[in-house]
Amino acid sequence: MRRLGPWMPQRLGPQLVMLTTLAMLLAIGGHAAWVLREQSDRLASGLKDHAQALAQNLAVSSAGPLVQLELDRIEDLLMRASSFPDVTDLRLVDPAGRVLSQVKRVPGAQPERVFNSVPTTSSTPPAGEALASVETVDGVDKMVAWAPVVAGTRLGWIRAELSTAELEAARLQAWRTSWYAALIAVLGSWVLVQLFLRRPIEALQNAHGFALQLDHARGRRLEVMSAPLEIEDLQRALDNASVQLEAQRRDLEVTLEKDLRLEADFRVAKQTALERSQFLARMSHEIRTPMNAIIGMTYMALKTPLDARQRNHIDKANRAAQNLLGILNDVLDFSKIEAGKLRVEAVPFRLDDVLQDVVDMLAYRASDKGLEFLLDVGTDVPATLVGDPLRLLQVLANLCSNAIKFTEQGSVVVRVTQLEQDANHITLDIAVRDSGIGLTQEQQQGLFQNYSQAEASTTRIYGGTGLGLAISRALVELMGGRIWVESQPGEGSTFRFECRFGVADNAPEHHGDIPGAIAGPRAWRARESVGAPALAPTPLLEPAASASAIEPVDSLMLVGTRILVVEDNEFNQELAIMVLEADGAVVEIAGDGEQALQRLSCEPGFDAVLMDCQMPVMDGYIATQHIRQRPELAGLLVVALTAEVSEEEHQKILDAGMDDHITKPFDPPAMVAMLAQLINEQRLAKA
Amino acid sequence: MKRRSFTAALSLALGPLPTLSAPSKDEARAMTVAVVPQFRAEEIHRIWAPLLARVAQETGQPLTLVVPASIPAFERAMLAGEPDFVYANPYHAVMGHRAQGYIPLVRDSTLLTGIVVVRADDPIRSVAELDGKTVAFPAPNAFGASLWIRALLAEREKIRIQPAYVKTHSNAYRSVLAGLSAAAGGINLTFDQEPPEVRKALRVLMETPGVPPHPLAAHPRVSAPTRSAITDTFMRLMTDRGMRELMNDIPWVNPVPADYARDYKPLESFGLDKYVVNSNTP
Repeated sequence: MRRLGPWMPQRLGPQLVMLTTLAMLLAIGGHAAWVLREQSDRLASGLKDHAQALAQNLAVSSAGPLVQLELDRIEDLLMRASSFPDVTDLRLVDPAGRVLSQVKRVPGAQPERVFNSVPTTSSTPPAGEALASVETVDGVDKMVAWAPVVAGTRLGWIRAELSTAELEAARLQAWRTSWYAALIAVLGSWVLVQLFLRRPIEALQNAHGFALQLDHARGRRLEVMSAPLEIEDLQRALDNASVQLEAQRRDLEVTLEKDLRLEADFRVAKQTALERSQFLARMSHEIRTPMNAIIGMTYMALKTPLDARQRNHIDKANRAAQNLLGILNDVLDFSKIEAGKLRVEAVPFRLDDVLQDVVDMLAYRASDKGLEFLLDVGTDVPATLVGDPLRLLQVLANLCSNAIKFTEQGSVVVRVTQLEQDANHITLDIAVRDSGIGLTQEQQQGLFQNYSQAEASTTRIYGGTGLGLAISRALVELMGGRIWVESQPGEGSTFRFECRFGVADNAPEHHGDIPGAIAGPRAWRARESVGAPALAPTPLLEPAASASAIEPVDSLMLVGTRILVVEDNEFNQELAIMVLEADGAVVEIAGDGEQALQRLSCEPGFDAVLMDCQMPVMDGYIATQHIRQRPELAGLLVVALTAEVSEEEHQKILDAGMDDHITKPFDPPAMVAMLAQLINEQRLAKA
Repeated sequence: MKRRSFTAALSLALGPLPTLSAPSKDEARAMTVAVVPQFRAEEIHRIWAPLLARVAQETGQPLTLVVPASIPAFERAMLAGEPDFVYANPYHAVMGHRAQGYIPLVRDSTLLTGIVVVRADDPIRSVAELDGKTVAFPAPNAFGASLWIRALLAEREKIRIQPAYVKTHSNAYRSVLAGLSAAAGGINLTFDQEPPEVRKALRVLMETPGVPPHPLAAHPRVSAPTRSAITDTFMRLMTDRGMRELMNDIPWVNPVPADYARDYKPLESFGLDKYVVNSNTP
């Protein structure tokens, strides 16, 4: 009930008083009107009867005197009759309307004769009928009765005029009574409201006021006033609400504070993480650059005539550097996984290439330990898949490396089988089985957790960061698969993972047959696997001899080529010169992008540019962009040298217009082979 | 009412009649007192009965009140000499004196004055203007209010009016007030007795010369000592409070001995007989 009307007060108390008062007034008014009407009708009819009777009596008794024109006797009659109650005027009128006799009486005074024979309206008889009715005489209501005076003929009329004052007084009295009753009723209702409803209304108003500022109550309690049940309940509910609201507000404040703290913590953590990854990137660069030098220099040293002891030392230094690089890569990968920055790409690749790379990387280690390293690829496994070949390689290399590491004798078998295939996807089961020491159930637990190895002692015996399996698991999961181990102590272990790949529409360009440009120099001898005769098409590789594997062939691959090396680091400049010149290339050096551009414009005729990406003055990306804008340098081969291996970096390299990239620290033969191939292709294309 | 008064008068009259047939034998016989019925019989009885009883007691002469049924009846009885005493108007006194020799004994000292009244708001200013109009009178032979006035109007004012006889003075006045008559004949005494509103509504147009008022007259057969005793007694009763009040109603306010020659004889010259409406015819 917003408001019943503009006249209605807004507050409940006055509303109740007003409504009860109105109801009372209506009831009493209605009753009073009815009673009043009844009473006044009764009085009026009584008065009428009285007037008629009086007029009639006078008419009868005045007939005789009138015949004789005994006006004094008529007057006498009228005088006596005038003492009847309510009579104010009596008269005898002749048929012409002349007043023959008239007596007036003012209430409370003596009757008085009036002599006024001139006919007036009030002395004119009505149309021949005896009649009594209320008329207004001189502005006052009177009961007037007419009665004919008859003696044979109609001699005249008696007109009796009676005061309605008593009637009016009775009406007034009734009115007054009604008013008193109404007044008493109103006062009564007011008193009742005050007596019985004041407290409830106060309680309600109190509750109302409380409810209005409940928002700001801050847990203030509402004193529950005694009132009818509903109002008491309402008060309690409000009180409760206030308390709960405050409690919630406090909770909210606490939560908010916590949130704020968390947010701050999160910001700090994020900042820290950012700083850490920046630090790692910087460290990665800073470490890789000297690593590059160490690996490159020891490599070059190994190419010089050395005695056995020297060769042994330098070879070990070279391998230690390689190991260190592996560890560094693991740590970097792991930090990327932790930072959630690791991404897998989906590009078409040949599974065989990946397997070949694994073999390339590890075959010599297996043969060093006298282990068989076998591949067993199902015939139904498609040659070309869509996925991330680098990451797949990383996982496989890790598992195989572990298998070789923990196997003293027997074999390491990589088996690839197809689990299921639909139009677009294929799920492969890839298992790396070794005949090594195996793992107990306990050892298997938490094997793929971060920083864990089967035993702490394992790390001491076999080395390694213990990150490999954790990284593998993260990569497999990123590629939509899962990884687990099946093992019994003493019976070897099988590390398996299922992985989902896309199915390629058409095979990617086939760059690398094993005997191709990169693998070409390495002579691998394949023979039929005795243990797996069913896997006919799968090449079973076995390193012929580890020594010959590293031994480069004598042909100089870069003879007749001119290569500009853009590199700010002096060691790397020197290394590049050494490696490339060793293969017959003419090498020029530029310290940064700007110098490179100058050299290129002064001295045309370079076959390729090896472009370091991060340099002072002008970095490799910008320099390449400039090169690509010069029409005279069209077709110039630009290969990036970079410590970064992320896809992001890869994309950046391609965007800048570089043809390919070589990761630092570079493997000199691989670098040479790659350059040779690229230059050959370029020349063929030009020709 | 009229009937009742007639009956009363009859019963009173019947009593003494046998004695009247044999008069003056014994002074102790009851003498009759006839009062002219100018007023209602009961009114006359109210006044005269106790008064006569007292006088009878004082004088030792029994008196019987006789109220004739009408004025003509009274006149007839008087002319016949029946009542021993009469109370009548001045003209009756003349008539009675002439016919039977009635001797006026007592009268009031205030002279009787006839008046002609008109409505106070009537534009009429002189009696002459009443010529040809209706004038109400109590009765044809009422002396002051009718006879005397009519005689004066005719003899002195030389006008002719249309008389209307309405029985009483009050009625005559009211006849004017009701517009039934242009004027009314009355006497100052009755006029003064009217309520103020009546007097206010009327205007006296003319007053007659004063005439000694109604006397109590005795038939000559009543002995002089009885006459004088009666006269003295009436005069003396004025000292009695109760009696005086009654006599005031007669009205004798200040009763004095009457003398025919002095008081009433002058009236004989007015030729009032002409104006008497003779209702004697049986």
